[in-house]
Amino acid sequence: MIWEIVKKQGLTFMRNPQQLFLLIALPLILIIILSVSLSGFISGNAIEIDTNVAFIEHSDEKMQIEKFIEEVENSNISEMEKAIYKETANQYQIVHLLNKEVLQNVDSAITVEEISPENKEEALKSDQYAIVIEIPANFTYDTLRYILLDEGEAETIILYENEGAEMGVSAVKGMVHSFQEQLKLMDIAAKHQLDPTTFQIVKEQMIGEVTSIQQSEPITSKEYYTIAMAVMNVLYIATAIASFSFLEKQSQVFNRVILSDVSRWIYFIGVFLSGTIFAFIQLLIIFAFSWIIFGVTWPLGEFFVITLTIAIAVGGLAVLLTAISYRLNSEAVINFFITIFIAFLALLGGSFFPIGDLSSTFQWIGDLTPNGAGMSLYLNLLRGNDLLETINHLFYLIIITVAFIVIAVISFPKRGQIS
Amino acid sequence: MLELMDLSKRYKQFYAVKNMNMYIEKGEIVGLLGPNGAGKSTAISMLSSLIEPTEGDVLFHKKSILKNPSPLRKVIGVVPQEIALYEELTAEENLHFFGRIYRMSGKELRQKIDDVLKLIGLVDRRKDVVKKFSGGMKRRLNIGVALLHNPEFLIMDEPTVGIDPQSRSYILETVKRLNEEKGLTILYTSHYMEEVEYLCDRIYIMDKGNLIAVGTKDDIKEILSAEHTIHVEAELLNNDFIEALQEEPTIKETFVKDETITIIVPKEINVFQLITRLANETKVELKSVNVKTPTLEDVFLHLTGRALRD
Repeated sequence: MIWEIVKKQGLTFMRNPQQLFLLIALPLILIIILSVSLSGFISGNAIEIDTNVAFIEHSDEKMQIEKFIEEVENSNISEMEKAIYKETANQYQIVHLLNKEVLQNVDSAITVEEISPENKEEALKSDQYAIVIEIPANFTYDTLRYILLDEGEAETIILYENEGAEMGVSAVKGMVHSFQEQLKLMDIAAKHQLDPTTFQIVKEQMIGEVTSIQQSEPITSKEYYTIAMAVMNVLYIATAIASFSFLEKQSQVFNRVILSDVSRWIYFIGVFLSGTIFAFIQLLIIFAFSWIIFGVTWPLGEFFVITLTIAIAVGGLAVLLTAISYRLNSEAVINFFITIFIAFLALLGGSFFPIGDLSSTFQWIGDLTPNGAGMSLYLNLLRGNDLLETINHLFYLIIITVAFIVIAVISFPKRGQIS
Repeated sequence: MLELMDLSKRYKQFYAVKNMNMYIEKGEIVGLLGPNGAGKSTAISMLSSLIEPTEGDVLFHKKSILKNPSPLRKVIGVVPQEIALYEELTAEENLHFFGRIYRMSGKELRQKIDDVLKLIGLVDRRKDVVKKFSGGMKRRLNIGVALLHNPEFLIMDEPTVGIDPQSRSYILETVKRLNEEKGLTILYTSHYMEEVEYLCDRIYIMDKGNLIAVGTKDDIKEILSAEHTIHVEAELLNNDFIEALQEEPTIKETFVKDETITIIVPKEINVFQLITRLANETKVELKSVNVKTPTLEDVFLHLTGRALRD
């Protein structure tokens, strides 16, 4: 019986071209338009456009390493220690690692340009660079001595920021800072005379940290607006189902169902499942489109968990709107949702632009909306992070779904009260 | 079979139905007559268990349906005033949906769908979506859905509103046939007097939430047995003539429609002399004056002072 209600709803959708356009075609069109026209809002793209780095190295690193090895050879330490230090010095070309492995290898969006020290002033004056990184003379030599031999002073990398390119500066600073942290780890390992293999671990951490410097995969505008439009437009499934349900009341189809001695709760469950199933289908269609056209892919397991949770929340919203419209005997609340409230939720949830970037308060408020919570879940997943990191959003969606259903049950007119 | 006992429905201070008493015996067609807003639909909603009465009770086979409506719901079919169908679905899909809702399935349901489509004359249109149907076809399907589960008792709420004469005639014939051939008990509400006169054995007349007359057609017409219903046609009616008729103390009711005036007067009055005199005084040229056998419409006019379709 419940299946008949869902099937009937499906047939109604299928034969209603206007609804199909609004629920399926429109979000796809919006994804294309917004991802192109508003790409500047999305941080992933901003980095691609803005981040040029000038890299100034005052002395040749290979010569510094050779100088360090020569000094080690001439020192009074054991042959075994000499071998370790020589191996370590050859392996850890610090400046090379920072330039080639961290900055250039991490993200193709960062362009590193090696500048001779004579051109430093010119580079500093130029708006072309988001940041200028200056490696002092003998930096590698001094650092190796400090870390491995515990001699001399630790050198510092100098960063010159371009105030007009905050996002790029922030990203590069994060990388350099993390790189320095790794150097400190090396220092600690050396000072505590840890096993030489410790350095190998440190190196792995370094590479691992390179990934974490990036923190997460950048989100392109296409990815962002695929998610944004999906979580916004899926709310219209709830209003569409609720509108159909209210029409069933007005046309007395609902009365026919009641007179057939079917419990109104069966009908209620039918509305809930219709909302859930068609929301799920709509999301799958939008993401399939995004996969085919933009190549946006997902870790499937987590993707389905998130999508199903959002779809269930939409089912809950559909029964809530249905129950309220039945109670008030008016479609006003559904129309309010369609015309105003969904757009408001979409704005707060970040569907038009990443409003959460403005302040953490906006992000917090946005995450309180079902679409915002869903969006945070999808974005987190697309950034390559684990679902567990944002599991609170998943729980939140489940909680509001339960709240929707409970309020709907309380609001739904009891037997004999539906006129 | 079904009894309404002092049934009332009150919305705040307004009584939609007040102290309604009614009974329906198995196999009869009972008419519930009244103008729009008389309370017919509210009464039907209460007796079919859709809404709870404020006061009173509904007994089905001597048992109240208020606490347990299931025995009644299993045997009633309701044809609502609205087209309670899915416009995007075909006739067959609609019947299938409601058949499944009535827990029918498989061969039994398919057979029943075929039977109903034949009965309502829509076999050739079974695969067409309802939104492409004419008003009459929608009304027929609306009735068909209510017949799917072989009800014993059919409630029809204004089933012929807004349709063409052919469809109306088809529906009336179908209702008559269902009653005569299948012994279906029918409660038929309408504000079309002629439909009720044609179909019903007994009639209840409602106005403003109250029952104002009850009985067989003859019983009700007997209300006018001491009076004549006169139809007066004039060449050019004027207000002076109408006002003169309305102010004449011997005339009980005066009702004007188009160029015809209907008046109800006691039989002992010499009505021709009276009408001729008033026409001369107000300079109206009479075309005809006819004494007619009273209709239910005349009864309603007599009882309420208003036409049924006002």
